[in-house]
Amino acid sequence: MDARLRRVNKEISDCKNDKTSQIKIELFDESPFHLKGSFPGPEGTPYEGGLFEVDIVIPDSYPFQPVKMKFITKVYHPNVSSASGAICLDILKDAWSPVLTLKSTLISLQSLLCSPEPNDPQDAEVAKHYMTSKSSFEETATYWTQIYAGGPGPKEKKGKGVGGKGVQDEVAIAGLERAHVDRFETLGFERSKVIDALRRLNYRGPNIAQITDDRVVEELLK
Amino acid sequence: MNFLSEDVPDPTDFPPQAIAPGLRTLDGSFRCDICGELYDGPVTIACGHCFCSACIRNCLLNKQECPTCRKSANEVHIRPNPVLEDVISAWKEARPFVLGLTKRETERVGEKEASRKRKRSSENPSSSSSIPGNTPGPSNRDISSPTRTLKAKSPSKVVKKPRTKREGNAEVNVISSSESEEDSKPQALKFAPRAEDLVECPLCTKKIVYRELNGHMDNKCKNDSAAKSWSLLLGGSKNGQQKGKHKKKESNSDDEYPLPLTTYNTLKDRQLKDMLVEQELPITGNRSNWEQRHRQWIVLYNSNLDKSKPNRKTKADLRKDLKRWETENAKKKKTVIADVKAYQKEQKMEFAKLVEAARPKKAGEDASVTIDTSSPLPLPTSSSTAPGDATEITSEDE
Repeated sequence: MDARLRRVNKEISDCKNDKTSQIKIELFDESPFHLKGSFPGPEGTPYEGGLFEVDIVIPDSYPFQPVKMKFITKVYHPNVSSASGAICLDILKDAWSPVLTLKSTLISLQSLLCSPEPNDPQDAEVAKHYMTSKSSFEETATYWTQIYAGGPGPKEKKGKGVGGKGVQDEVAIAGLERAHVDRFETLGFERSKVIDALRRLNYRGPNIAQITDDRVVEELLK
Repeated sequence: MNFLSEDVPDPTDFPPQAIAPGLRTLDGSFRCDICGELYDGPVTIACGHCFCSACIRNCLLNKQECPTCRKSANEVHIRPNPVLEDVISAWKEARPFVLGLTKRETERVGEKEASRKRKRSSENPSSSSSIPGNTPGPSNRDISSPTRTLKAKSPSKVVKKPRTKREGNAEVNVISSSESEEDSKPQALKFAPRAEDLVECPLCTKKIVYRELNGHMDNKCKNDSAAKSWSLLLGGSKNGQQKGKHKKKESNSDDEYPLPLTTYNTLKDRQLKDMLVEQELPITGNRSNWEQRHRQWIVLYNSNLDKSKPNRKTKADLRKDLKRWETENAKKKKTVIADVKAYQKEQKMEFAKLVEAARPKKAGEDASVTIDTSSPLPLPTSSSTAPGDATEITSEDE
């Protein structure tokens, strides 16, 4: 058994034996170098209550090269690509150190969810949303946690959100206001296109005052 | 799943803190943070952190900082840690024994718990009185037998453990004899040598009469005929005893110095080949093979030097290690696609999925977009008969 395999084996059994961290590592298939990690969303954040799964690929020269990790669960976070799940975190790149383990890296991901870094974003649109209106961002992140990560969902304070269970609300997923989307839809544009355009323009919070309707229509006609 | 069921010793072999305080941590702290194995040739770097010699050397090739605290570190900071090395070899010996003890102990505790429950439920005086008498009996017998076998191998290492267990008389006798041996050695060392005593020359490690030592060293260790005759006269028994003690000093006098790291970029093929030949390494493969081979050889060779002499491997063994490393590396690099057609058939769904995923982004635009997005796929060079999307993409690529 080569050193890399032995180390992976140890790391998995270490995770199994540690019940306090709540971090799990499983195999995808027979390969010991393609794993699935999961951890609960940190408390006191929009991700609380969700279970986040991570795709782990262990490179040939592990532990001298960093593990490759990306989210399987969709996450609304400035440093995680909302489309591909790619993660922007220094220890997964040049700040990797061979003493880091799968467990410690997954804990780092967990704490990345606690402290977003919008100035070094992976997903620029999400980062803009975060910078423009944190409360609106958190609402959207909570909604994503609810529909993708099995979270408890938002406290039912605003009428917006899902009508029936299991139905996904595109407007909430995009982090937009229903009223805005409806307004442009009545102009005769396709709903999905409106959502797309408004998201690209970051049509949220104080930004709305700065974006003229003409600008939106221009974007829609593109 | 089978790789998980394979038994790789790690700290979790020991019961958790609540049952066996400190043991798990102890085993963990004897392990290198990089490879997770018990230290193999432990070394310390400038910041004080400890790693296997080969591990930290490999690390420093990538980045010149301590993997643990990120303080800057360098090859030249590496110092061997012979004390820890001794600790590790003792622990390697003791580990299975301690594991056995803890296992028995947890079983015993479990039995006791069970018996206590039984007692509480049945309130039977006869059973409760028989159990405390019974349980220590077998466990005592179990403990003593492996202790004896271990003791036969290395009396000095297990001295303290059996003492705390308070076992039979025979055991105590063995202990006291081994202890007196231990005591006598350091005492002998404490004495300052008298003028006529034989001492070891710190330069050439030959035995010299103490009063002649200065002259001998001034003569650059050449004039040792007198010393030779003395050592012959005084017999070999004393010599043999001292040899073992001074092994570490001897290694300094050998011509075994670490090899320097090289920047290969400035070397010509010829020079690089010569360097390999000089180390008696094969010169098969291409230039990058040579560089990797030489670099890894330096790591292996230097880390071997960081071990104390009895633990070192021979050069022949090191060469075998290098060869194994190279074949393993070659295996990792190649993602062998044995049957290209079958591979494409197998991956067809995957290709289709990727193409599908790429399409809606720029709906309505021409097909070249989808091909662009899917081009970084690790496509094998295809033959023209391969089916479906795969053919389309590869032909566009070419």
